[in-house]
Amino acid sequence: MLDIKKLSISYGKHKALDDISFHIDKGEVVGLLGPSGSGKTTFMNTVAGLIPYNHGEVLIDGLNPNEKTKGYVSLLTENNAIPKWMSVEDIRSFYKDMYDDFNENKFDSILQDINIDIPYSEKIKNLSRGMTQLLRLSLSIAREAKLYLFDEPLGGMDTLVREQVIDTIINNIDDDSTIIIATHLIQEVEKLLDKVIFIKKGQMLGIHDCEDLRFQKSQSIEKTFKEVMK
Amino acid sequence: MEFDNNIPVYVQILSYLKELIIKKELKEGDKMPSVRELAKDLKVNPNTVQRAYRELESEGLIISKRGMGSYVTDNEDMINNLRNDIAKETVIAFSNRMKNMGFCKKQILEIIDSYVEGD
Repeated sequence: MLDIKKLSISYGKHKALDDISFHIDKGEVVGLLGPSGSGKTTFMNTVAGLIPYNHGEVLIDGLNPNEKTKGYVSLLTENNAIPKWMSVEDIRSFYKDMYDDFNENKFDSILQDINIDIPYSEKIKNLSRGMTQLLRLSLSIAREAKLYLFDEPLGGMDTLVREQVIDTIINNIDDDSTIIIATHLIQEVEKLLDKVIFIKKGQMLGIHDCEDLRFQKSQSIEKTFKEVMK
Repeated sequence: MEFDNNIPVYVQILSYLKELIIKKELKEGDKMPSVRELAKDLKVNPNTVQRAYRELESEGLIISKRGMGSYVTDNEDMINNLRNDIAKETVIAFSNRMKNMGFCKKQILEIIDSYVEGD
């Protein structure tokens, strides 16, 4: 589904990504794990087609990131907020206009599943930070995308909202969609993942099947991560 | 159920399901929950539940019927064997721990006799 071949991105002398290669199959849930500044966001934005790359190749279902792949790659960015003056209804229509693969019914049912009781007339500016984050996640999952890229989906939220985010992701894992979750909060997400990729200072330190790794090391992914990052 | 992140998740799901079968909460011939349902309940990746189901199937404890889901075996001998196997594993783990602490067989049996309640 996703093939990364010798991908490098440099800004002057700084190498944001350095010779990254791996392959992900359709239907897999993959954790891209690294400390902040390790290149996770650069990677996600590259696959989403927002950043050009100097060397190597990114192939999504055989295509380089372009306008076509943007139509089926759904990126949840870490920071950019949705326009605060909009209401939930506005942002729902906005997504519908913006993305052909946006499914409004799926969006409605995601919000129902997590019991968010926000009237669609409510303005975004009146929502808490956690609620806004959940709303953004719901918007990106409500796209019927082939590839979902969630960049720090748990950032800046309390435990209860984190659980809701994780539930929402689990409820929407299916055989046809591939998910990459970039995060440094490993304990929270490790049960979700099929595979993990460790990344540090732009370099890839390995890709593993999570269950095999737990079995080999007799320890959690989080502990192995800490060892690998030393 | 609470998971221990240090142990493969599918292994923990496997023991959990075996226990449900032994306790007859999943009876002979019962339909198993769908992979998706169970993944939602346990809050894990459906692929992990699928792995546990594959293992149960290869051990013959569940049978998957194409397009209809999976069913608990109706072979009672098989379930009795499972029950005995788990009893054995549990006792061996317990007795090893006791022996490590210096108890001999006679003492272990005495302790069991004085603390196990009921008939």
